[in-house]
Amino acid sequence: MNNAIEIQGLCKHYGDFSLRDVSFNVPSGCIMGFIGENGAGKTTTIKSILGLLHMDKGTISVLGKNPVAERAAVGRDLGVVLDGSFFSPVMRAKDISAVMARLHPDWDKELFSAYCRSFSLPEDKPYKKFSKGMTAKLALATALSHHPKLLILDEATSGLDPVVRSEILDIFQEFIEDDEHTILLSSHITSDLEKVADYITFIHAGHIVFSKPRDELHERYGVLKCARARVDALNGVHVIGRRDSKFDAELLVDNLPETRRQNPDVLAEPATLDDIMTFLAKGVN
Amino acid sequence: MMGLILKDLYSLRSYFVKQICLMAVVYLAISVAMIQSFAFFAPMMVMSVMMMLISSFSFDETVKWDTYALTLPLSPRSIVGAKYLLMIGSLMGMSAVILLLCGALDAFTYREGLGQIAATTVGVGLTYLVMCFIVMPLFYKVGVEKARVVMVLCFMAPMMLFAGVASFLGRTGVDLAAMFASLSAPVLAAGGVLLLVGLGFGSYLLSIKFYAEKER
Repeated sequence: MNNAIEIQGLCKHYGDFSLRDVSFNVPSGCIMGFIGENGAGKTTTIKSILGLLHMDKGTISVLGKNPVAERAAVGRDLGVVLDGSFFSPVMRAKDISAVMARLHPDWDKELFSAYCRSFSLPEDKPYKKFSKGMTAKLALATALSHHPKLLILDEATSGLDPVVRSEILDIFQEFIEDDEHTILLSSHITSDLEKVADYITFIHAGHIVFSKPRDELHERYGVLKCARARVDALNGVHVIGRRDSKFDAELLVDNLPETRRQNPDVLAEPATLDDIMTFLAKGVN
Repeated sequence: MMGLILKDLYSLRSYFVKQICLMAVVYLAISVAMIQSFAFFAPMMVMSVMMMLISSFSFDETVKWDTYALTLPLSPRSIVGAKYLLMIGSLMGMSAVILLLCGALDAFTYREGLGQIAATTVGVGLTYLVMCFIVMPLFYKVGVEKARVVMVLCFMAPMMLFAGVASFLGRTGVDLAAMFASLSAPVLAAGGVLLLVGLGFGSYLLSIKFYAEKER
């Protein structure tokens, strides 16, 4: 399988934060969810992938090319949604289309208009009058309308209502129907990632905790609930996170099948992405 | 590059309609009611257009346009080049339009002659062009707000430098004015054009360097 994005040993140091040896690959033809708490390094990683930051160390390849040295070539096949509006608020959707048609050789004016109709976006209204959700939809329409091979989306669905989010997730799944298209989706809405992501990469405090297929996470990671006094008596559990209340304990394990087999009387459920993030971000006690 | 220029024109459309038209009315009123000469109106309009074009940098900074632009199939060279093209083209184009307009108005009113209006308009236009060549690399290096301070220095520093040099040469017995007067107009013009082109090219290369180095 080819990789749409390959990151090896990425290091980037700021005064009070560092990305440390970030390495993961985004296979072609998949949707990768990129999760982490606020300040974990998601946006720094994404900006490094886009060649917007200078790496201290490491290599990045996007669609087989260097995102800095071959910026224009990479940009041709890239659709991006980042935090921010990027166009002047007085511009209208049709102005953006006119500009993009001259900036991008593959810009599809009809497709952009179709997305605007589908998202109920007026093409002749200055987008400073758009709601937050409409602005997010406009950014997505712009990213999708030049037939990109790779979409990199940083919180692209935040601020959208569940109905629209569901529509957009359907668009994402149509987008990757062939192996030529890939999505890297950074999002705090883990329920969206549970629905569509094939892979999940979790970053915490500037380093990658895991980068695994989502199915593997559901099979291996689980949350046990039992009395605190019972914890030490559990057999064969590999605890990687723990949360105690007054009398009970919740344990995150990464060997759920083995744990269930050896402790059949203990309540053990597959962990959600929220569970995994919450437990791992707090560390193992 | 045309797409980038179009983006700036769309961004400035509202500013142009509101601010420039308002300034045109104000300066026209001053020219007619107080000064009775269009030699004031033309250079003031050139100045207003220049300020509007500089605002395009502010707009880009506010919306973080450069962050997005670098994800498109564009190079730093073309992004920066489009800005230079916009500034130089707009300055020259608007100066010519304003000059012709004032010349036409003057022909039916004060009849001072196009020469006087042209002298002030071209002088102001060239001054702003030189100022842009000096300031634009700074816009890319430190941002518009910090670079605005330098814009003030752009007016003062050349004047002070020229005065200083002239004073020094005067003490050594060199008459700078006479020296310039002894040069033929074509030589002066060619020298000026070469200096301007050199300054502009150097400014462009420096801007590309600063733009490419900047993290977003």
